[in-house]
Amino acid sequence: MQGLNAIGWYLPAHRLDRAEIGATLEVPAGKGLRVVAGYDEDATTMAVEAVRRLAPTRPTDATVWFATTRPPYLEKTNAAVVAAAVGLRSSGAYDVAGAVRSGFAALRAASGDVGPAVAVLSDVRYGLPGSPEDLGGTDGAVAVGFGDDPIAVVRAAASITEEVTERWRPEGTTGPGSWDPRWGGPVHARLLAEVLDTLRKRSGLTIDRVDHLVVTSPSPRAARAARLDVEASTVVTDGALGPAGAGAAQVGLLLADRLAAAEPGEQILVLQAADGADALLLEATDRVREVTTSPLPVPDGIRVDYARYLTWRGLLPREPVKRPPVEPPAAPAALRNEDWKFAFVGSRCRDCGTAHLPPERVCMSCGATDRMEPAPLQDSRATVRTFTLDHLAATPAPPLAVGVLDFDGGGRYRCELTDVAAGEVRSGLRVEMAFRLVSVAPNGVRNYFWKARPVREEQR
Amino acid sequence: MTFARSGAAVAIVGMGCTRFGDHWDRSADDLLIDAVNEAIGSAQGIELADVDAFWLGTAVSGASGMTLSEPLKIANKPITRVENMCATGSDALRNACYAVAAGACDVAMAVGVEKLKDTDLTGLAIPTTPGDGTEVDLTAPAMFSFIVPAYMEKYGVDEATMKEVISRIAWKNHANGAKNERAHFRAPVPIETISSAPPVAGMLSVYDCSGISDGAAAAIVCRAEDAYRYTDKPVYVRALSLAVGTGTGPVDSSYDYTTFPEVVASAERAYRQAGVTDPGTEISLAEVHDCFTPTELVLMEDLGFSERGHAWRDVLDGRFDLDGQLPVNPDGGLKSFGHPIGASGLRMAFEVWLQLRGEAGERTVPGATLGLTHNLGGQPGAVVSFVSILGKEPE
Repeated sequence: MQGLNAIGWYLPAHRLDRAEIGATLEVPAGKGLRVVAGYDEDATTMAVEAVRRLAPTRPTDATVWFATTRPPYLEKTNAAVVAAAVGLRSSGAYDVAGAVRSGFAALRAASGDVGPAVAVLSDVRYGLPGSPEDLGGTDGAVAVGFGDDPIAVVRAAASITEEVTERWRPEGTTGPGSWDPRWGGPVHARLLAEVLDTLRKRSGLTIDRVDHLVVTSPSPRAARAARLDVEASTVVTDGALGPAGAGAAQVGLLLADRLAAAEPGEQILVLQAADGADALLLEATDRVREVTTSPLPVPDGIRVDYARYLTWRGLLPREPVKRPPVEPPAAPAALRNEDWKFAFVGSRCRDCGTAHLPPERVCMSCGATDRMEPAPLQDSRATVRTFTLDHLAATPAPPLAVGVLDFDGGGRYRCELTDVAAGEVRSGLRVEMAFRLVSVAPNGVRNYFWKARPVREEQR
Repeated sequence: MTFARSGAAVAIVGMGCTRFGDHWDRSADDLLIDAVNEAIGSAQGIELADVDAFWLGTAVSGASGMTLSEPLKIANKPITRVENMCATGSDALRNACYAVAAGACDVAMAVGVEKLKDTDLTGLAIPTTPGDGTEVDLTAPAMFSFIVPAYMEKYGVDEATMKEVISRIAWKNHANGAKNERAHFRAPVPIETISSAPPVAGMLSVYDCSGISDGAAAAIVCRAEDAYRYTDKPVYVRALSLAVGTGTGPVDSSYDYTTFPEVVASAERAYRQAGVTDPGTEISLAEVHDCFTPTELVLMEDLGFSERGHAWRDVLDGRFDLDGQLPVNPDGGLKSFGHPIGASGLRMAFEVWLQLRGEAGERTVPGATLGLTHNLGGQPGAVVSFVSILGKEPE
């Protein structure tokens, strides 16, 4: 039996107090915390983290469908970076990029693919200071696997399309523009009702009652205005992830919440209105019990102040420190070392067992040449042996914290620590590896590599 | 193979060294011309044309032997550009000595230069080669700051004491440099100023870091048997030792950041060459690579001046002060004299040259007969280490 067989979600560690935005800009900004991707994260790195968390089945061979409204690269496939980092290079990897609706598109593509597939929905949601996306957006990612041993089967799916200029963002602009929500809300409410009708007609199912109903739309008034003739025990709408939501990741994060709550046999109906509307009806299997964690309610995290947040998004540029310019990674070297750079695979000497990070040909312990086997360490935890805080290094979050790590099972490596407060760094700190954006070179090439972050059980 | 056994004995018969500092108004060419001419002028009866071969050390201030031949108009002589990180100047000297020892030339010159102040950067720009982008972008003070917590933990030194130890090293070297007209920083710094400065990396403040300077230095070497043709007070090269590590410390879980194994290896070899068995008492003075104060602390143990785990105590006891039992960095060291990378190794030899000839003025170490220079490049766990021993007497 085929179907939705895994779910994994990732919310970055930083939180910004909306009251601080309001106080700074002298505007009503609402209450609560917004989830903030770190200075070293983008849609691609968060997508990697979501795929790494896929459970209960972590695929070893699957097509990757990557959806985001903030693709870090154009021309080049961002999904290829994701595939390299998570070891899914033996199938296709494709971007479904640009529109909020891309998230649903990736779900449709993955669920209908000819083999195992992963839809990964990831977004960094922001706009100009004071915009809805600035005040109430959420950064995050979710991965949804399709293949054998499902936790939920797809019972029906349907879509309709309308050219509704409710929301747009020309290339090169900071945030989206939108039309009057008093118009956009009712239009999208109508589309939601229409796609439900279409779903019934296409599937021949009655669908008058479901256990879980997810209703989402980038148009802020759509869900509230929708008159849907379906009974539901639980209804989840956009407000759960902030008024402006998580962009292309929104539908997946809400679905993740319902999969965590669903009992075997329960029906989950997912409706999204954006440039038309999409509908997906799922039925949970016995395996749904293996899904235990939900992104909701959003857990607390490390506070970031508004000025630093704006700088991280490029909206408050600061005087650069006088350090040498960033060197771009050399493309041939990155490809030669693809498993190391993107998947954190070192080498281990077959003769004496010594681990090498990065991989080496000649063993530093016994001197044997070309006796190495791969040592994948991205999922190994480590202990900080010693550390430093570098106040001189150029970083958007000074001081730069660097730890000397000893991996469980062997292997020494020195790397940047991230998602950590300066006062929290100490010898003995337990850490795990995280895929991050190290720097962006003047030629636009993004240098992705691994850093270490403190183990926080609640994130798992 | 050891240096002393294989060829002729070698002596230094002339030296020059510019003042180190912010030479905004002088180029690398100017510094080279001044250092070379001072060295030529310090030897009797040697013209530039009499020098058979040159080794020119620079890390970033030029490429090829023409970095030296162009400014000085040295036509068609063999000149080799040497680069070995911060030990570049020492390696230039080592190569010049070997050429003389091997009989390949009669008179050779080692020159080191660096022009760092035209970069508009804070800290040192470490040259990189294109790579896969996975190297962590650490500054030099951060690399060496790893020593501090590791040393404290291993030897049970508390934070306040450790801060006092490294501050005292900085205080000593600034006090020595204040007595040296060629030093970059010539003002003594109160220890309270040093210990209360804000951090640059880990426990290190700006006072724990060497100066970044422009400067040049030069040495003329010949066979020891010819030395008195050029000077009344030759300085004899008793040992030259270079140890290049495998660079694996940062990825080797057995490395604990409280020692430089390469330094231990280079020192042992140098002591063997010079017949030194108890360096703590036989060496009269030492110029060591105090790129950062914890480096100097650990070097006292790696060079055998202190027992393991005891250097911090010897520092506090003043053993390495100018009037102590074994003066270390009497000229101010990298800390106060400054650190123009390619010139530093030859600057260290210059101070020993002055001391053994009795020309060090108020810094004079009375009765000095054996001086050691130690020069390293790299970072803890991955260094090139050079040790020389220079003597007033040939044996």
